[in-house]
Amino acid sequence: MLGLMRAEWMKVTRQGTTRILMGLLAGISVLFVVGLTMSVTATQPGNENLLLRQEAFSRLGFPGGVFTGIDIIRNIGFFIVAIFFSSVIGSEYGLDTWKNLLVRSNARGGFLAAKLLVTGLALLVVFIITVAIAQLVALGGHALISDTATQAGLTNQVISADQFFHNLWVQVVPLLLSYAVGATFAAMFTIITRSTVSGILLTVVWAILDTAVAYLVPSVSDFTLDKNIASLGKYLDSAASGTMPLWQNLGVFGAYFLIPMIVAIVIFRRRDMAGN
Amino acid sequence: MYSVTEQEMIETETSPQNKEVLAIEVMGLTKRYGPNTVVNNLNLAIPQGSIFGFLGQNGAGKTTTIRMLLGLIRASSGRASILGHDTVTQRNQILPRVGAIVETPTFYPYLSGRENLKQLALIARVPFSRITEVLEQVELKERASDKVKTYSLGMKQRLGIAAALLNNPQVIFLDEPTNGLDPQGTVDMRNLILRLAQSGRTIFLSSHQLHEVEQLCSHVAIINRGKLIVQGSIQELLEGTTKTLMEVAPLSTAQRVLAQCGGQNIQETGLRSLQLEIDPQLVPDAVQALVGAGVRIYSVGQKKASLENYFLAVTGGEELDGEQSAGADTAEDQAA
Repeated sequence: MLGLMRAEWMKVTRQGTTRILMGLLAGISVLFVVGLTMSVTATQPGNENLLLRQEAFSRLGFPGGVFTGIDIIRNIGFFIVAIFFSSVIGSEYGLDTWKNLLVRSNARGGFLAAKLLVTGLALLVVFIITVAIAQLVALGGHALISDTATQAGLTNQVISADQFFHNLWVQVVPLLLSYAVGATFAAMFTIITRSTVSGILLTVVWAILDTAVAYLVPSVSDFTLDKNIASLGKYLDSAASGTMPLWQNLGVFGAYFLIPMIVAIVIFRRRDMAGN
Repeated sequence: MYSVTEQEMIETETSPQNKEVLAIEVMGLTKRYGPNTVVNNLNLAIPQGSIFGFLGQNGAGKTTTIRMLLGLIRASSGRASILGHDTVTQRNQILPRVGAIVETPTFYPYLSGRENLKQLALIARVPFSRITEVLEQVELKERASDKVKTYSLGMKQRLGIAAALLNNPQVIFLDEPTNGLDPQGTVDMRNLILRLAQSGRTIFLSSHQLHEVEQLCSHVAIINRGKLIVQGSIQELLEGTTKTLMEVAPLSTAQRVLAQCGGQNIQETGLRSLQLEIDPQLVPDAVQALVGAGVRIYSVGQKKASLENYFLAVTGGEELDGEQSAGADTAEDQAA
């Protein structure tokens, strides 16, 4: 398993998709923070609300920039997960390289497990770098506009370490859980269709459907991932409680996470490798 | 020359002596995709240390057979063993002793040749030191650090061989290894395969390049539309295909005399040319008889059928690789 994981890590870190997605996230981070910085200093009509400007200013400091980075990931992270996981698995079909790998080791399930684990780890690193870039650029923006902001009556807000980690926990855990489910769906769809593009599209369509059902079909909305993750997020925030029982939130998450993964592994192990 | 029947295979299987020397045994292997039977009740017996040519037209079922033997696809029925191990239930014991190129070798284009081999070495638990050895063997060491996307087809084929050799296998499957290579690349590949065979490995060479197979292989099997037509050593298969060619005049007298001297299947192939089957030991007497009968003899020679001619004959002289092979009729006659 360790050999499989080392091999996967080499591929994931060297392939173009990883670098393109990293570059994309870095670019978006810079643009987002630049926009945030401008929104603090802009004084044109419509931007007189000091509360909003204060909120933006806080997001430029430390550790406010961390949450700016997390916001960026929250907005586009699911698409990144779908693209990343589908391409990592789909490229083996596209390049027809499964045939090279599967004649070296008998552990088909091991190949897939190693791929999912390493891809998840690589994506986590990409997200951490994105947050770090957002924080760094935010600090630069903060330094640039600090005097102007102070003159406008904006202040540097300080939060305690406890509050920081609590906020981090409450925001990051639900995000990671929903991304973990997105990853297993992307893997399953890619393996079923043997295609990166189809894997991405079906994962995104599934996510849209899940959210739509959560809001539009009350009779089954309690079993959607969207609603259960939202409820779970409230449990994580000690100040609030979830809208549904915790066991149900965890059960629904477990089902959404495990079922696609099991389907993917079973299909991958049992199906012929057509090689194209 | 022999056609392998199921009964013969069972006999082969149960003979302890044969079991020891067979590298690959295939028994009734069948693959169906819906109503289409791609490989139909295939039986093969491949001796250890041989270069085994697996011949068939495009779409005959060669690659499907290799994929089944390597466990990439599942057989609909039948079974196979490699080095005495069942290809389905004992695949763990087989894979470390087998190397393969299945169709065109494929690699990660964004990695170098060496990194691609590292990938496979990590999976197969082969020490990295072996990578340099195989790169030297295929004469690719100088370009090992370049990305595979910069490699020519011939270099990719050689890297494919290097990948197949990585675990120092006893059995190597090479599926159309010279496909798309230029003449020099083909010669290089052929020499490489011969070098590999000299080290005692069994080489399963799937190809429709009959000239190449004839030059390389000791044994062949021919399949057509998924069915085994014939298998055996090339020497056995081509035995009895030797024809005697004569330029003589007049033809009618010559035909009568030759028939009396034991000539068979005598055919006119030109204005003063004959082709016949005759025991080589009888040729001097036949010549003497012809001279005695007043027949003028311009030349006497022998012609052995090539594997290509033989292949075309046993597969019904069908198109090979999309091209009508010239002289197919003659070939059919010769191999009959």
